[in-house]
Amino acid sequence: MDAIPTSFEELAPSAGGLDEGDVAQIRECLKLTPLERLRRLENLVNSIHRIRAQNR
Amino acid sequence: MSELRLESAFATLVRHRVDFVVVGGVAGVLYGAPFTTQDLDLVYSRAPENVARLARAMAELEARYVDPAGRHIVPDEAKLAALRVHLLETTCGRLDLLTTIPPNLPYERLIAEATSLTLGEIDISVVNLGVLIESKEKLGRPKDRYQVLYLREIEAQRTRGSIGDGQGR
Repeated sequence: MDAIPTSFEELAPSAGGLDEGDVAQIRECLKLTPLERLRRLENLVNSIHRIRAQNR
Repeated sequence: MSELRLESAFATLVRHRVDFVVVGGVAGVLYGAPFTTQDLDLVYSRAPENVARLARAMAELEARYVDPAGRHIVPDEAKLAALRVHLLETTCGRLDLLTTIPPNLPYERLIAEATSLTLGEIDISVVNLGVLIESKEKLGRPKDRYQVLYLREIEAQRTRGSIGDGQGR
């Protein structure tokens, strides 16, 4: 298990206030073009709206 | 509530030759932030000819003010020239038209440092990343402070050369 975080202390935020999972998310977004980032946002928000509408 | 159709909103504004700068959460997303936002925030030029073009674009998008009383009030040329903030519902989703962002930066100041991004067939101007961070810090709401964490990390990665001009790969 060397180098694999196994306690909350090891998941402490970085100096910038984000943890490794947040930074990994940013890295994934940075691989996309701006248009792809925009479409990702549209898909996510519209999916949330559809789920909310179905559960009303 | 209409579906969020940002590409379509931008295409309409560009077709009407509206001078605007993208600010707010969508600007952050365009730079690569993984957070979500439900509305598009734009700062527009208050030059009379631009206000006229913007009014025509708003008519095409069937824009109306978000009104808790349910009245149907449209952002016409007179309102766009006189008022500073317009919270609108359109056929492309929520759209907030602003004349400045903190600390009192109008279109003319924002466009001077803006980043030009290509979205398929169209080019749009997006607020400079450093200016966006400064503006969100001035706003200081919890959601702004949260978004600044992501924007600062993106800025750091840009400084380290992980990414170039905000155009992604």
